[in-house]
Amino acid sequence: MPGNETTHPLLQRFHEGDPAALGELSDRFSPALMGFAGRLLHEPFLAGDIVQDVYIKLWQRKGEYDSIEGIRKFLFVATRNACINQNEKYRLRQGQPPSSEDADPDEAMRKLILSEYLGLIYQIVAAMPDKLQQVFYLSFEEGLSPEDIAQQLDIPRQTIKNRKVEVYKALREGLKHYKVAMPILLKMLFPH
Amino acid sequence: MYRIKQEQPVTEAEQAQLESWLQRSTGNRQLFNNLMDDRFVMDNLKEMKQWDIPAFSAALVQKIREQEKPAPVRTLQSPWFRRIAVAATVLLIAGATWFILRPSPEKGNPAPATIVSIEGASNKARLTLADGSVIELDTLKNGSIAAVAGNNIQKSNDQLIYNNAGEASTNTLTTPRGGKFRLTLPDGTKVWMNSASSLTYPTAFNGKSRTVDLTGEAYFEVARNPKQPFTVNIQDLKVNVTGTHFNVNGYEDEGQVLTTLVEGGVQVQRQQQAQALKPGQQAIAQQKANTITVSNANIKQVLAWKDGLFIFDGKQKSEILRELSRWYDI
Repeated sequence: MPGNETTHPLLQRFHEGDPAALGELSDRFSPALMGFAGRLLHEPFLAGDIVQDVYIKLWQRKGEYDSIEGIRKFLFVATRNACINQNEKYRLRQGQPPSSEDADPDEAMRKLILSEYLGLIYQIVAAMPDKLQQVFYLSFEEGLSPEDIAQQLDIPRQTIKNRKVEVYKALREGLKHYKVAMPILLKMLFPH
Repeated sequence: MYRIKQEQPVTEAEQAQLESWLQRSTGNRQLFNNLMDDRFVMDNLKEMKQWDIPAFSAALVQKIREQEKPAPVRTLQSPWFRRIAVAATVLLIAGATWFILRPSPEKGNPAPATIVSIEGASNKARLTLADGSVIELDTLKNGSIAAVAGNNIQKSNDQLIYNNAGEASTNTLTTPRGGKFRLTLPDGTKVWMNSASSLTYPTAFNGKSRTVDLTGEAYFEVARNPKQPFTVNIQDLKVNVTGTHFNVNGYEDEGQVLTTLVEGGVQVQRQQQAQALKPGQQAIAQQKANTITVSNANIKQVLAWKDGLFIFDGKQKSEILRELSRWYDI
Protein backbone atom coordinates (compact mmCIF):
# COMPACT_ATOMS: atom_id res chain seq x y z
CA MET A 1 0.00 0.00 0.00
CA PRO A 2 1.19 3.53 -0.66
CA GLY A 3 3.38 5.07 1.97
CA ASN A 4 4.42 8.66 2.00
CA GLU A 5 3.60 9.71 -1.52
CA THR A 6 3.93 13.45 -1.48
CA THR A 7 7.28 12.93 -3.20
CA HIS A 8 6.19 9.99 -5.33
CA PRO A 9 7.97 10.38 -8.70
CA LEU A 10 4.91 9.27 -10.64
CA LEU A 11 2.79 11.85 -8.83
CA GLN A 12 5.33 14.52 -9.58
CA ARG A 13 5.33 13.76 -13.29
CA PHE A 14 1.54 13.71 -13.22
CA HIS A 15 1.46 17.18 -11.66
CA GLU A 16 3.97 18.43 -14.21
CA GLY A 17 1.55 17.40 -16.95
CA ASP A 18 3.35 14.37 -18.40
CA PRO A 19 0.68 12.38 -20.28
CA ALA A 20 2.75 9.20 -19.87
CA ALA A 21 2.22 9.51 -16.10
CA LEU A 22 -1.53 9.27 -16.70
CA GLY A 23 -0.85 6.17 -18.79
CA GLU A 24 1.02 4.61 -15.87
CA LEU A 25 -1.83 5.44 -13.52
CA SER A 26 -4.13 3.78 -16.04
CA ASP A 27 -1.93 0.67 -16.14
CA ARG A 28 -2.17 0.56 -12.38
CA PHE A 29 -5.86 1.28 -11.82
CA SER A 30 -7.62 0.29 -15.04
CA PRO A 31 -7.79 -3.47 -14.43
CA ALA A 32 -9.81 -2.79 -11.28
CA LEU A 33 -11.69 0.24 -12.66
CA MET A 34 -12.83 -1.55 -15.82
CA GLY A 35 -14.03 -4.50 -13.76
CA PHE A 36 -15.81 -2.17 -11.35
CA ALA A 37 -17.55 -0.28 -14.17
CA GLY A 38 -18.45 -3.53 -15.95
CA ARG A 39 -20.05 -4.89 -12.79
CA LEU A 40 -22.02 -1.71 -12.12
CA LEU A 41 -23.26 -1.08 -15.65
CA HIS A 42 -26.40 -2.49 -17.25
CA GLU A 43 -24.45 -2.16 -20.50
CA PRO A 44 -20.98 -3.43 -19.59
CA PHE A 45 -19.67 -2.74 -23.10
CA LEU A 46 -19.67 0.97 -22.19
CA ALA A 47 -17.12 0.41 -19.40
CA GLY A 48 -14.17 1.46 -21.58
CA ASP A 49 -15.85 4.75 -22.61
CA ILE A 50 -16.80 5.55 -19.05
CA VAL A 51 -13.41 4.79 -17.54
CA GLN A 52 -11.65 6.82 -20.23
CA ASP A 53 -13.89 9.81 -19.43
CA VAL A 54 -13.00 9.49 -15.76
CA TYR A 55 -9.27 9.65 -16.53
CA ILE A 56 -9.79 12.70 -18.71
CA LYS A 57 -11.66 14.36 -15.86
CA LEU A 58 -8.80 13.44 -13.54
CA TRP A 59 -6.32 14.98 -15.96
CA GLN A 60 -8.30 18.21 -16.13
CA ARG A 61 -8.09 18.62 -12.37
CA LYS A 62 -4.70 17.04 -11.76
CA GLY A 63 -3.59 19.80 -9.39
CA GLU A 64 -6.21 18.80 -6.85
CA TYR A 65 -4.67 15.50 -5.86
CA ASP A 66 -1.59 15.32 -3.68
CA SER A 67 -1.43 11.56 -3.21
CA ILE A 68 -1.86 8.41 -5.27
CA GLU A 69 -4.47 7.36 -2.74
CA GLY A 70 -6.40 10.58 -3.41
CA ILE A 71 -6.30 9.81 -7.13
CA ARG A 72 -7.47 6.27 -6.51
CA LYS A 73 -10.44 7.52 -4.47
CA PHE A 74 -11.39 10.01 -7.15
CA LEU A 75 -11.16 7.36 -9.89
CA PHE A 76 -13.46 4.92 -8.14
CA VAL A 77 -15.97 7.47 -6.90
CA ALA A 78 -16.17 9.18 -10.30
CA THR A 79 -16.53 5.81 -12.07
CA ARG A 80 -19.32 4.81 -9.74
CA ASN A 81 -21.17 8.10 -10.29
CA ALA A 82 -20.75 7.86 -14.05
CA CYS A 83 -22.10 4.29 -14.04
CA ILE A 84 -25.13 5.27 -11.98
CA ASN A 85 -25.87 8.10 -14.41
CA GLN A 86 -25.48 5.78 -17.37
CA ASN A 87 -27.79 3.22 -15.78
CA GLU A 88 -30.41 5.89 -15.20
CA LYS A 89 -30.30 6.76 -18.89
CA TYR A 90 -30.61 3.08 -19.75
CA ARG A 91 -33.65 2.61 -17.54
CA LEU A 92 -35.29 5.75 -18.88
CA ARG A 93 -34.79 4.33 -22.36
CA GLN A 94 -36.28 1.00 -21.31
CA GLY A 95 -39.09 2.61 -19.33
CA GLN A 96 -37.97 0.86 -16.16
CA PRO A 97 -38.32 2.29 -12.64
CA PRO A 98 -35.20 3.38 -10.72
CA SER A 99 -33.21 0.47 -9.37
CA SER A 100 -32.54 -0.03 -5.71
CA GLU A 101 -29.29 -1.84 -6.54
CA ASP A 102 -27.59 1.35 -7.70
CA ALA A 103 -28.52 3.06 -4.47
CA ASP A 104 -27.21 0.22 -2.28
CA PRO A 105 -23.78 1.27 -0.98
CA ASP A 106 -23.04 -2.24 0.33
CA GLU A 107 -23.50 -3.76 -3.12
CA ALA A 108 -21.26 -1.12 -4.70
CA MET A 109 -18.65 -1.75 -1.99
CA ARG A 110 -18.71 -5.49 -2.67
CA LYS A 111 -18.20 -4.84 -6.38
CA LEU A 112 -15.35 -2.51 -5.48
CA ILE A 113 -13.65 -5.05 -3.23
CA LEU A 114 -14.00 -7.79 -5.82
CA SER A 115 -12.73 -5.59 -8.64
CA GLU A 116 -9.74 -4.28 -6.70
CA TYR A 117 -8.82 -7.76 -5.53
CA LEU A 118 -8.94 -9.17 -9.06
CA GLY A 119 -7.10 -6.09 -10.33
CA LEU A 120 -4.37 -6.69 -7.80
CA ILE A 121 -3.90 -10.32 -8.80
CA TYR A 122 -3.97 -9.33 -12.47
CA GLN A 123 -1.17 -6.86 -11.81
CA ILE A 124 0.93 -9.23 -9.78
CA VAL A 125 0.75 -11.71 -12.65
CA ALA A 126 1.37 -9.02 -15.29
CA ALA A 127 4.50 -7.94 -13.41
CA MET A 128 5.94 -11.47 -13.42
CA PRO A 129 8.60 -12.41 -16.00
CA ASP A 130 7.08 -14.12 -19.05
CA LYS A 131 8.33 -17.57 -18.09
CA LEU A 132 6.54 -17.33 -14.73
CA GLN A 133 3.34 -16.00 -16.33
CA GLN A 134 3.43 -18.98 -18.66
CA VAL A 135 3.63 -21.40 -15.75
CA PHE A 136 0.94 -19.47 -13.90
CA TYR A 137 -1.58 -19.73 -16.74
CA LEU A 138 -0.73 -23.31 -17.65
CA SER A 139 -1.11 -24.53 -14.08
CA PHE A 140 -4.07 -22.47 -12.92
CA GLU A 141 -5.99 -21.80 -16.10
CA GLU A 142 -5.35 -25.05 -17.92
CA GLY A 143 -4.99 -27.05 -14.73
CA LEU A 144 -1.88 -28.81 -16.00
CA SER A 145 0.49 -30.69 -13.67
CA PRO A 146 4.21 -29.81 -13.58
CA GLU A 147 4.80 -33.02 -15.56
CA ASP A 148 2.40 -31.95 -18.32
CA ILE A 149 3.90 -28.48 -18.47
CA ALA A 150 7.44 -29.89 -18.54
CA GLN A 151 6.47 -32.10 -21.44
CA GLN A 152 4.61 -29.35 -23.32
CA LEU A 153 7.43 -26.81 -22.99
CA ASP A 154 10.23 -29.37 -23.20
CA ILE A 155 11.78 -28.06 -20.00
CA PRO A 156 12.92 -30.22 -17.05
CA ARG A 157 10.20 -30.97 -14.53
CA GLN A 158 12.25 -29.57 -11.68
CA THR A 159 12.57 -26.22 -13.45
CA ILE A 160 8.79 -26.01 -13.75
CA LYS A 161 8.46 -26.86 -10.05
CA ASN A 162 10.94 -24.13 -9.16
CA ARG A 163 9.06 -21.62 -11.28
CA LYS A 164 5.82 -22.60 -9.62
CA VAL A 165 7.36 -21.86 -6.25
CA GLU A 166 8.39 -18.45 -7.56
CA VAL A 167 4.85 -17.83 -8.80
CA TYR A 168 3.51 -18.58 -5.32
CA LYS A 169 6.10 -16.30 -3.79
CA ALA A 170 5.18 -13.44 -6.09
CA LEU A 171 1.48 -13.91 -5.38
CA ARG A 172 2.02 -14.10 -1.63
CA GLU A 173 4.29 -11.09 -1.67
CA GLY A 174 1.86 -9.11 -3.78
CA LEU A 175 -1.14 -10.06 -1.71
CA LYS A 176 0.44 -9.52 1.66
CA HIS A 177 -0.83 -5.94 1.57
CA TYR A 178 -4.28 -7.36 1.25
CA LYS A 179 -4.22 -8.34 4.88
CA VAL A 180 -3.79 -4.67 5.59
CA ALA A 181 -6.22 -3.62 2.92
CA MET A 182 -9.02 -5.86 4.20
CA PRO A 183 -9.43 -4.14 7.58
CA ILE A 184 -9.29 -0.78 5.80
CA LEU A 185 -12.08 -1.86 3.51
CA LEU A 186 -13.98 -3.19 6.50
CA LYS A 187 -13.52 0.10 8.28
CA MET A 188 -15.02 1.84 5.28
CA LEU A 189 -18.00 -0.48 5.59
CA PHE A 190 -18.29 -0.02 9.35
CA PRO A 191 -17.30 3.49 10.24
CA HIS A 192 -18.31 2.87 13.86
CA MET B 1 -3.87 -21.13 -4.28
CA TYR B 2 -3.68 -18.06 -2.11
CA ARG B 3 -5.59 -18.42 1.08
CA ILE B 4 -5.47 -15.08 2.74
CA LYS B 5 -7.17 -16.35 5.82
CA GLN B 6 -4.63 -19.12 6.35
CA GLU B 7 -1.42 -17.70 4.97
CA GLN B 8 -1.80 -14.20 6.26
CA PRO B 9 -3.28 -14.60 9.71
CA VAL B 10 -4.96 -11.46 10.83
CA THR B 11 -5.24 -10.29 14.40
CA GLU B 12 -8.10 -11.53 16.55
CA ALA B 13 -9.85 -8.18 16.34
CA GLU B 14 -9.55 -8.19 12.56
CA GLN B 15 -10.78 -11.77 12.45
CA ALA B 16 -13.82 -10.84 14.54
CA GLN B 17 -14.49 -7.88 12.31
CA LEU B 18 -14.28 -10.09 9.25
CA GLU B 19 -16.64 -12.65 10.79
CA SER B 20 -19.24 -10.07 11.65
CA TRP B 21 -18.96 -8.63 8.17
CA LEU B 22 -19.43 -12.08 6.63
CA GLN B 23 -22.51 -12.68 8.73
CA ARG B 24 -24.01 -9.37 7.89
CA SER B 25 -25.39 -10.43 4.51
CA THR B 26 -25.38 -13.29 2.05
CA GLY B 27 -23.85 -10.88 -0.48
CA ASN B 28 -20.79 -10.49 1.74
CA ARG B 29 -20.49 -14.23 2.21
CA GLN B 30 -20.82 -14.80 -1.51
CA LEU B 31 -18.12 -12.22 -2.19
CA PHE B 32 -15.72 -13.80 0.24
CA ASN B 33 -16.32 -17.25 -1.24
CA ASN B 34 -15.66 -15.85 -4.72
CA LEU B 35 -12.41 -14.23 -3.61
CA MET B 36 -11.27 -17.57 -2.22
CA ASP B 37 -12.36 -19.58 -5.26
CA ASP B 38 -9.46 -20.28 -7.64
CA ARG B 39 -11.76 -21.14 -10.53
CA PHE B 40 -13.66 -17.89 -10.14
CA VAL B 41 -10.47 -15.87 -9.95
CA MET B 42 -8.97 -17.60 -12.99
CA ASP B 43 -12.10 -17.12 -15.09
CA ASN B 44 -12.04 -13.43 -14.29
CA LEU B 45 -8.33 -13.07 -15.01
CA LYS B 46 -8.91 -14.69 -18.37
CA GLU B 47 -11.57 -12.11 -19.16
CA MET B 48 -9.38 -9.28 -17.92
CA LYS B 49 -6.65 -10.28 -20.36
CA GLN B 50 -9.14 -9.61 -23.19
CA TRP B 51 -9.54 -5.98 -22.13
CA ASP B 52 -5.99 -5.28 -23.26
CA ILE B 53 -5.17 -2.73 -20.58
CA PRO B 54 -1.83 -1.70 -22.21
CA ALA B 55 -3.72 -0.73 -25.39
CA PHE B 56 -6.33 1.10 -23.33
CA SER B 57 -3.64 3.11 -21.52
CA ALA B 58 -1.82 3.86 -24.78
CA ALA B 59 -5.04 5.15 -26.37
CA LEU B 60 -5.65 7.34 -23.33
CA VAL B 61 -2.16 8.87 -23.50
CA GLN B 62 -2.59 9.45 -27.24
CA LYS B 63 -5.89 11.19 -26.63
CA ILE B 64 -4.43 13.48 -23.98
CA ARG B 65 -1.50 14.36 -26.25
CA GLU B 66 -3.87 15.22 -29.12
CA GLN B 67 -6.02 17.30 -26.81
CA GLU B 68 -3.07 19.33 -25.61
CA LYS B 69 -1.73 20.05 -29.07
CA PRO B 70 -2.71 23.62 -29.88
CA ALA B 71 -5.22 23.63 -32.73
CA PRO B 72 -4.51 25.78 -35.80
CA VAL B 73 -6.49 28.99 -35.50
CA ARG B 74 -8.70 30.38 -38.21
CA THR B 75 -11.25 33.10 -37.71
CA LEU B 76 -14.32 33.29 -39.85
CA GLN B 77 -15.45 36.81 -39.18
CA SER B 78 -15.48 38.58 -42.53
CA PRO B 79 -18.77 39.19 -44.39
CA TRP B 80 -17.36 37.15 -47.23
CA PHE B 81 -17.11 34.14 -44.99
CA ARG B 82 -20.51 34.91 -43.56
CA ARG B 83 -22.11 34.74 -46.98
CA ILE B 84 -20.47 31.44 -47.68
CA ALA B 85 -21.64 30.16 -44.37
CA VAL B 86 -25.22 31.16 -45.06
CA ALA B 87 -24.99 29.42 -48.38
CA ALA B 88 -24.10 26.31 -46.42
CA THR B 89 -20.83 25.75 -48.17
CA VAL B 90 -18.40 23.66 -46.28
CA LEU B 91 -15.65 25.35 -44.35
CA LEU B 92 -13.43 23.46 -42.09
CA ILE B 93 -11.22 23.96 -39.12
CA ALA B 94 -8.83 21.48 -37.68
CA GLY B 95 -10.01 21.42 -34.14
CA ALA B 96 -12.63 22.49 -31.69
CA THR B 97 -10.35 24.54 -29.47
CA TRP B 98 -10.57 27.62 -31.61
CA PHE B 99 -14.28 27.94 -31.26
CA ILE B 100 -14.31 27.37 -27.57
CA LEU B 101 -11.60 29.92 -26.89
CA ARG B 102 -13.01 32.53 -29.23
CA PRO B 103 -14.32 35.59 -27.39
CA SER B 104 -18.10 35.75 -27.22
CA PRO B 105 -19.77 38.16 -29.63
CA GLU B 106 -20.79 41.58 -28.38
CA LYS B 107 -24.42 42.27 -27.66
CA GLY B 108 -26.52 43.39 -30.61
CA ASN B 109 -24.01 41.91 -32.99
CA PRO B 110 -25.10 38.34 -33.54
CA ALA B 111 -22.41 35.76 -34.03
CA PRO B 112 -21.92 34.86 -37.65
CA ALA B 113 -23.11 31.46 -38.67
CA THR B 114 -20.05 29.29 -38.76
CA ILE B 115 -19.88 25.93 -40.37
CA VAL B 116 -17.49 23.36 -39.18
CA SER B 117 -17.13 20.01 -40.82
CA ILE B 118 -17.32 17.09 -38.49
CA GLU B 119 -14.32 14.98 -38.97
CA GLY B 120 -14.29 13.63 -35.46
CA ALA B 121 -17.42 11.59 -35.88
CA SER B 122 -17.00 8.24 -37.49
CA ASN B 123 -19.55 5.61 -38.29
CA LYS B 124 -19.46 3.76 -35.02
CA ALA B 125 -22.38 2.04 -33.40
CA ARG B 126 -23.39 -0.95 -31.35
CA LEU B 127 -26.43 -3.06 -31.96
CA THR B 128 -28.02 -4.85 -29.02
CA LEU B 129 -30.32 -7.72 -29.99
CA ALA B 130 -33.34 -8.90 -28.01
CA ASP B 131 -31.35 -11.70 -26.40
CA GLY B 132 -28.87 -9.15 -25.05
CA SER B 133 -26.08 -10.03 -27.48
CA VAL B 134 -24.08 -7.07 -28.76
CA ILE B 135 -22.77 -6.51 -32.28
CA GLU B 136 -20.05 -3.91 -32.89
CA LEU B 137 -21.06 -2.42 -36.21
CA ASP B 138 -17.90 -0.53 -37.08
CA THR B 139 -15.77 -3.64 -37.09
CA LEU B 140 -18.27 -5.59 -39.15
CA LYS B 141 -18.10 -6.30 -42.85
CA ASN B 142 -21.00 -5.34 -45.09
CA GLY B 143 -23.70 -7.90 -45.67
CA SER B 144 -26.25 -9.80 -43.68
CA ILE B 145 -25.39 -9.65 -39.98
CA ALA B 146 -28.24 -11.46 -38.34
CA ALA B 147 -31.33 -13.35 -39.26
CA VAL B 148 -33.59 -13.40 -36.23
CA ALA B 149 -37.10 -14.79 -36.36
CA GLY B 150 -37.58 -13.99 -40.02
CA ASN B 151 -36.02 -10.54 -39.81
CA ASN B 152 -33.00 -10.09 -41.97
CA ILE B 153 -30.61 -7.30 -40.92
CA GLN B 154 -28.25 -5.96 -43.57
CA LYS B 155 -25.29 -3.74 -42.91
CA SER B 156 -23.91 -1.52 -45.64
CA ASN B 157 -21.12 0.92 -44.74
CA ASP B 158 -22.63 3.31 -42.22
CA GLN B 159 -26.15 2.01 -42.31
CA LEU B 160 -28.33 -0.77 -41.10
CA ILE B 161 -31.37 -2.02 -43.00
CA TYR B 162 -34.16 -4.21 -41.71
CA ASN B 163 -36.08 -6.39 -44.15
CA ASN B 164 -38.98 -8.83 -43.92
CA ALA B 165 -41.58 -8.35 -41.28
CA GLY B 166 -41.35 -11.47 -39.17
CA GLU B 167 -41.84 -11.87 -35.47
CA ALA B 168 -41.07 -8.69 -33.57
CA SER B 169 -38.24 -8.54 -31.08
CA THR B 170 -36.59 -5.47 -29.60
CA ASN B 171 -33.27 -4.13 -30.84
CA THR B 172 -31.28 -1.15 -29.63
CA LEU B 173 -28.81 0.82 -31.72
CA THR B 174 -26.36 2.83 -29.63
CA THR B 175 -23.85 5.32 -30.98
CA PRO B 176 -20.95 6.22 -28.71
CA ARG B 177 -19.61 9.71 -28.48
CA GLY B 178 -17.90 10.45 -31.74
CA GLY B 179 -20.05 7.95 -33.62
CA LYS B 180 -23.07 8.27 -35.89
CA PHE B 181 -25.15 5.85 -37.89
CA ARG B 182 -28.04 5.50 -40.31
CA LEU B 183 -30.81 3.02 -39.90
CA THR B 184 -33.72 1.88 -42.07
CA LEU B 185 -36.51 0.38 -40.01
CA PRO B 186 -38.69 -2.50 -41.29
CA ASP B 187 -41.46 -0.07 -42.35
CA GLY B 188 -39.00 1.87 -44.52
CA THR B 189 -38.61 4.74 -42.05
CA LYS B 190 -35.13 6.21 -42.22
CA VAL B 191 -33.34 7.33 -39.07
CA TRP B 192 -30.07 9.27 -38.84
CA MET B 193 -28.58 8.78 -35.40
CA ASN B 194 -26.37 11.49 -33.96
CA SER B 195 -23.53 10.62 -31.58
CA ALA B 196 -24.09 9.54 -27.95
CA SER B 197 -27.63 8.48 -28.81
CA SER B 198 -29.64 5.32 -28.73
CA LEU B 199 -32.77 4.08 -30.40
CA THR B 200 -34.82 1.11 -29.22
CA TYR B 201 -37.24 -0.29 -31.76
CA PRO B 202 -39.07 -3.50 -32.68
CA THR B 203 -37.70 -5.49 -35.61
CA ALA B 204 -41.22 -5.61 -37.03
CA PHE B 205 -44.11 -3.17 -36.57
CA ASN B 206 -47.02 -5.54 -36.09
CA GLY B 207 -49.32 -3.55 -33.79
CA LYS B 208 -51.67 -0.62 -34.29
CA SER B 209 -48.88 1.88 -33.90
CA ARG B 210 -45.15 2.15 -34.54
CA THR B 211 -43.31 3.15 -31.39
CA VAL B 212 -39.59 3.72 -30.84
CA ASP B 213 -37.64 5.04 -27.83
CA LEU B 214 -34.92 7.61 -28.33
CA THR B 215 -32.22 9.13 -26.17
CA GLY B 216 -29.97 11.82 -27.58
CA GLU B 217 -30.65 13.09 -31.09
CA ALA B 218 -31.97 11.66 -34.32
CA TYR B 219 -33.52 12.81 -37.59
CA PHE B 220 -36.47 10.80 -38.86
CA GLU B 221 -37.98 10.38 -42.30
CA VAL B 222 -41.04 8.41 -41.40
CA ALA B 223 -42.64 6.22 -44.05
CA ARG B 224 -46.23 7.36 -44.53
CA ASN B 225 -48.89 5.09 -43.06
CA PRO B 226 -51.93 6.87 -41.54
CA LYS B 227 -53.29 3.55 -40.27
CA GLN B 228 -50.24 2.96 -38.14
CA PRO B 229 -49.14 6.20 -36.45
CA PHE B 230 -45.47 6.56 -35.59
CA THR B 231 -44.47 7.67 -32.08
CA VAL B 232 -41.04 8.64 -30.73
CA ASN B 233 -40.73 8.46 -26.95
CA ILE B 234 -38.05 10.72 -25.57
CA GLN B 235 -37.67 11.49 -21.87
CA ASP B 236 -41.24 12.26 -20.77
CA LEU B 237 -42.38 13.36 -24.24
CA LYS B 238 -44.17 11.66 -27.09
CA VAL B 239 -43.80 12.86 -30.64
CA ASN B 240 -46.75 11.55 -32.68
CA VAL B 241 -46.62 11.55 -36.46
CA THR B 242 -48.23 9.95 -39.47
CA GLY B 243 -45.59 10.47 -42.14
CA THR B 244 -43.10 13.25 -42.01
CA HIS B 245 -39.52 14.47 -41.69
CA PHE B 246 -38.41 15.79 -38.33
CA ASN B 247 -35.53 16.05 -35.91
CA VAL B 248 -35.62 15.26 -32.20
CA ASN B 249 -32.80 16.52 -29.95
CA GLY B 250 -33.11 15.48 -26.35
CA TYR B 251 -29.68 14.96 -24.81
CA GLU B 252 -30.26 14.87 -21.10
CA ASP B 253 -27.41 17.26 -20.34
CA GLU B 254 -29.08 19.95 -22.42
CA GLY B 255 -32.09 20.19 -20.13
CA GLN B 256 -34.64 20.28 -22.92
CA VAL B 257 -36.08 18.34 -25.81
CA LEU B 258 -36.18 20.13 -29.16
CA THR B 259 -38.48 18.72 -31.84
CA THR B 260 -38.08 20.37 -35.23
CA LEU B 261 -40.42 19.69 -38.12
CA VAL B 262 -39.08 19.77 -41.64
CA GLU B 263 -42.00 18.29 -43.61
CA GLY B 264 -45.49 16.98 -42.85
CA GLY B 265 -47.02 17.29 -39.40
CA VAL B 266 -46.21 16.17 -35.86
CA GLN B 267 -47.72 16.55 -32.44
CA VAL B 268 -45.52 16.85 -29.36
CA GLN B 269 -47.18 15.49 -26.27
CA ARG B 270 -46.29 15.60 -22.59
CA GLN B 271 -48.85 13.99 -20.34
CA GLN B 272 -52.11 15.89 -21.04
CA GLN B 273 -50.40 18.71 -22.89
CA ALA B 274 -50.03 18.61 -26.69
CA GLN B 275 -48.63 21.00 -29.30
CA ALA B 276 -48.95 20.61 -33.05
CA LEU B 277 -46.09 21.79 -35.26
CA LYS B 278 -46.04 23.23 -38.77
CA PRO B 279 -43.05 22.72 -41.05
CA GLY B 280 -40.18 25.01 -40.03
CA GLN B 281 -41.34 25.16 -36.43
CA GLN B 282 -39.62 23.87 -33.35
CA ALA B 283 -41.18 22.70 -30.07
CA ILE B 284 -39.09 23.31 -26.95
CA ALA B 285 -39.93 21.21 -23.91
CA GLN B 286 -37.87 22.31 -20.92
CA GLN B 287 -37.05 19.58 -18.42
CA LYS B 288 -37.71 21.84 -15.45
CA ALA B 289 -40.68 23.92 -16.59
CA ASN B 290 -43.64 21.77 -17.48
CA THR B 291 -44.38 23.70 -20.66
CA ILE B 292 -43.98 23.21 -24.38
CA THR B 293 -43.29 26.35 -26.40
CA VAL B 294 -43.23 26.68 -30.18
CA SER B 295 -40.97 28.93 -32.22
CA ASN B 296 -39.56 29.17 -35.71
CA ALA B 297 -36.41 27.14 -36.25
CA ASN B 298 -33.25 27.46 -38.28
CA ILE B 299 -33.69 24.18 -40.09
CA LYS B 300 -30.23 24.29 -41.58
CA GLN B 301 -28.71 24.59 -38.14
CA VAL B 302 -30.89 21.92 -36.64
CA LEU B 303 -29.99 19.41 -39.34
CA ALA B 304 -26.33 20.38 -39.68
CA TRP B 305 -25.11 17.37 -37.71
CA LYS B 306 -26.90 14.99 -40.06
CA ASP B 307 -24.89 16.05 -43.08
CA GLY B 308 -21.70 16.11 -41.11
CA LEU B 309 -21.76 19.87 -40.56
CA PHE B 310 -22.05 22.13 -37.59
CA ILE B 311 -23.51 25.59 -37.87
CA PHE B 312 -23.06 27.74 -34.83
CA ASP B 313 -25.29 30.73 -34.86
CA GLY B 314 -25.02 32.52 -31.57
CA LYS B 315 -25.51 29.26 -29.74
CA GLN B 316 -24.56 29.39 -26.11
CA LYS B 317 -20.99 28.37 -25.51
CA SER B 318 -21.74 25.65 -22.99
CA GLU B 319 -24.20 24.16 -25.44
CA ILE B 320 -21.54 24.16 -28.15
CA LEU B 321 -19.06 22.60 -25.79
CA ARG B 322 -21.43 19.78 -25.04
CA GLU B 323 -22.13 19.26 -28.71
CA LEU B 324 -18.44 19.22 -29.55
CA SER B 325 -17.56 16.92 -26.73
CA ARG B 326 -20.05 14.41 -28.06
CA TRP B 327 -18.74 14.62 -31.59
CA TYR B 328 -15.08 14.66 -30.89
CA ASP B 329 -15.36 12.28 -28.04
CA ILE B 330 -13.52 14.68 -25.74
